[in-house]
Amino acid sequence: MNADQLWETTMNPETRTLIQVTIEDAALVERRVSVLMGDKVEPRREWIEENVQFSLEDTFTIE
Amino acid sequence: MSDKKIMMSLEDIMGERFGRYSKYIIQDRALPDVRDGLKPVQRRILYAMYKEGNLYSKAYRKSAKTVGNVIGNYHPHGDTSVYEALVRMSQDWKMRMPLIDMQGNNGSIDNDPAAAMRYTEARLSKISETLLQDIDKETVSMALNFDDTEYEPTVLPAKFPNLLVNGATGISAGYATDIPPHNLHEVIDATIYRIKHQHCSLEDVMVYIKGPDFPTGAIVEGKQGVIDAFTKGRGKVVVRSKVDIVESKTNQSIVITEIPYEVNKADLVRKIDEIRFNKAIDGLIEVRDESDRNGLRIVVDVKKDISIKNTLNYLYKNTDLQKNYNYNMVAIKDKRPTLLGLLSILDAYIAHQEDVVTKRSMFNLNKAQSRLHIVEGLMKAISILDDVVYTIRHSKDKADAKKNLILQYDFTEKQAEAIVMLQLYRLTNTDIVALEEETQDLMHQVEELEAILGSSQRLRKVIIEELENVKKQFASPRLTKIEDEIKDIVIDTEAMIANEDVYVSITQDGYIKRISQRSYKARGNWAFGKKENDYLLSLMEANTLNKLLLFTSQGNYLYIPVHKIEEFRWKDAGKHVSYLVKLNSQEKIVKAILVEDFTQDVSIALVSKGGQIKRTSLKEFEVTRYSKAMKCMTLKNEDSLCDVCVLDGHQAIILVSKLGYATLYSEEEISLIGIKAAGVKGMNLKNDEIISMVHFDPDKATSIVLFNDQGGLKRLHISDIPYCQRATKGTLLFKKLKTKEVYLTKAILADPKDVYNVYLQNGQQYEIAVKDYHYLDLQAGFSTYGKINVGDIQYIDDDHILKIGKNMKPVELEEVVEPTIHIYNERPQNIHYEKLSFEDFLEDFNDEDIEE
Repeated sequence: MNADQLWETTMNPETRTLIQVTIEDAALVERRVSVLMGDKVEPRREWIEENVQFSLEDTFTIE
Repeated sequence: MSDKKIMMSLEDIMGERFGRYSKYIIQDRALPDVRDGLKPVQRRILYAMYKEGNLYSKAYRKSAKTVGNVIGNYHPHGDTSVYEALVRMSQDWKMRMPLIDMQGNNGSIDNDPAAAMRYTEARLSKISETLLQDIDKETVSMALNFDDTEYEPTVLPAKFPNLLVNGATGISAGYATDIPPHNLHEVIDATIYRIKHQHCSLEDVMVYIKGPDFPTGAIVEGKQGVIDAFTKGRGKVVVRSKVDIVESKTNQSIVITEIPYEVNKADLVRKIDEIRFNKAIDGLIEVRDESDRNGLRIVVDVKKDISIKNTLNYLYKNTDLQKNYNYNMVAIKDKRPTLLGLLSILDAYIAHQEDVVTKRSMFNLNKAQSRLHIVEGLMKAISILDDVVYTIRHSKDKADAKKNLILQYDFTEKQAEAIVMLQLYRLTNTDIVALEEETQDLMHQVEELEAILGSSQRLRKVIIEELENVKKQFASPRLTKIEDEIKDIVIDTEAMIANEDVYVSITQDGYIKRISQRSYKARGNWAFGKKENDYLLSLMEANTLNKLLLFTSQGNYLYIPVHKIEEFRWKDAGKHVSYLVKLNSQEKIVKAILVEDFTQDVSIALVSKGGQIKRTSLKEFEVTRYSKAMKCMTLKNEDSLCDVCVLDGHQAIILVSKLGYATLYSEEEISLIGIKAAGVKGMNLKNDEIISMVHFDPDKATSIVLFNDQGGLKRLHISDIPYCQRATKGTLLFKKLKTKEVYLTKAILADPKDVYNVYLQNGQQYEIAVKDYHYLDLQAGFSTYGKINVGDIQYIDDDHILKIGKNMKPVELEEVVEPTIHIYNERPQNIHYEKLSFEDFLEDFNDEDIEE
């Protein structure tokens, strides 16, 4: 990516979009992180089965 | 600032991003498609090579070129991952039917890497071409590549069930897959049977597919595991190496010719050699890897007199000579990761073939029909050739000629085009015959194809024919032997241990070591190695086959096979026992007993400081699992284990308390109880505690020696101590002083010939010879030790090693010429004690003054 491309797409304050990450419920975040990144596979698989739609192309419905 | 700002909670962001990532990894990276058994990178490699004409019939092409094509056209990822995938598809110890034919070093079963991609060359293997066959006939759906410049297949036509034949392994998010290779012949037969019998059972199909067929051969055990895997997708089988046992004059050898799938041979050889080097088992002489270009061969030389079966079982259990394979048949089916049984895999494959053959037939039909249409036009043109020529000659240009042909003779646009493009030589006679033949041929084809498309029966027949054809070309005999039962591995551990006489030492704090005979003999004047403030509890002659029982202050015991104890030199401190068995930090070792034979009819007596006493049969101390300390006496809160001894059924015991009281009774007074029990009251104590338990053979033993905390020592006749009931206060053993309280620290059985080592806190050692001290009666006070300062004594080594073996009893005192004391084994009502006299023994002693 060239510098001007980066400016256009990401850096320009006129057009860019920022996502501000918030933590409302620390316990919920903690649980989510340990499900998604933890050692146990089983909860992760369950989460994937519940939340990821394999049949649709590139659309995700979370929760 | 006009920033657009979106607020999102962390869990939502993570959920959304992880969802996208996991979907990608699952669908497009790590898991194979159920239809062609390929992961995207593999499919892209095969397709890229096919497109480039890098076929089996042509010369090899540099691997780097292929890798570049794959990355540049289809797979925007690392070159190493693409090259590794390419190499793996060429390895005939990973793939049952290699899909790539590689020229050059493509790695080895020892896991050494393939040569870099600039050195190796590759082409599609012959069987790969059947995976790609018909791909240009619109048989599979194509998708645009990453930069929308090319199309790539989403699946290959796959003319054989590659997923089962070559297997797969992969780890994605939440899902992993492990599918072993199977035999092509068997899989095709099963597929054909399934096509013919759509509702057949797994059993029927398993007539053909009996289990996995690894390229590395070996033996698979466990039919049930195969059935589980084929039913549910998960199941465990045992894969065992193929070995032969060869006897020679000097030794015997285990010859390994096939090893389990996915085992690194070099690691396996190294592991076996480590076992030899560490002497974990006895009898291994040498391990040699004799593999060469003709095949795999590992030779393990074993001593002549060793049970080779046992050795082999040990290797099966402790190395990858035997390994479990866990089926976990996950594949992408309808874009979804699915755990699949054998029948679902076959059905998915068959459905794919029906789809492919239908589409191909449609493609061919279209082609045949349009050709037929043209041929019909040409034939018609030839039949009115002169008119056609005239019309063309009188037309302005090509477009006009076509227009006129269509208008005047009713040709279609396509036919007209074909006519104007006709070369003049095609107008000869022979060509008309050829056209006629072609028409026939095309009509026949169309008929055939229409039949296939119109009847699922015909369609299936075509699929079967094609499968049969692949089978005929490529089938190879099964390499892996299947056995229904999993053989138990029985290891006689005793037989594995090198039988060696050694010394074993244990300190109070729990430092333990094994000292070889050689090191023991060479100890010279070196002090025994130990940590500061620790002291030697026992040093005993042992054999590696013996077991050591260590009793702790908290009423537990540790069971330690001597051969497990690490060897150290005499002057080394050794290692804390917790590397063998876990020990609580406050727990002290109270006593060590060495056992050769647990079947001996003896019992272990345990006494606590609080006066509880119990007896438990030795047999109960034998265990098979010993990683943890086990309870041998339940103790009340503050109480702790004080002493332990071995009784053979004819012994009597004396319990001695700190305040100087002693009870003496037969061991039969103590009931024989279970290993966890708390026991009974052994002595009535008042603000007092037990310091020693002395056991003796009433027919032989004569005297005991008491030590006190003031540096005093007293030797007295056992016969002076009256027999009493179990839970009584007992007899006072010395005269109480009014001025100060004297406490006993230890009581030991004494033979006139004994010499005791007394260890002082400053590390000095001092000898006390029993015969140096006269007998004193109960009312007397103490003698002094002599040169030793009061309070310096740290430990008295009473040297009575407890060893129980086949021909061993608790170490007996040497026979002494002294009248015996009779303690009846039956619980006596009235006991008569014979008074003993000193006279007989005076000669044994030096006439030294007895100091008060």
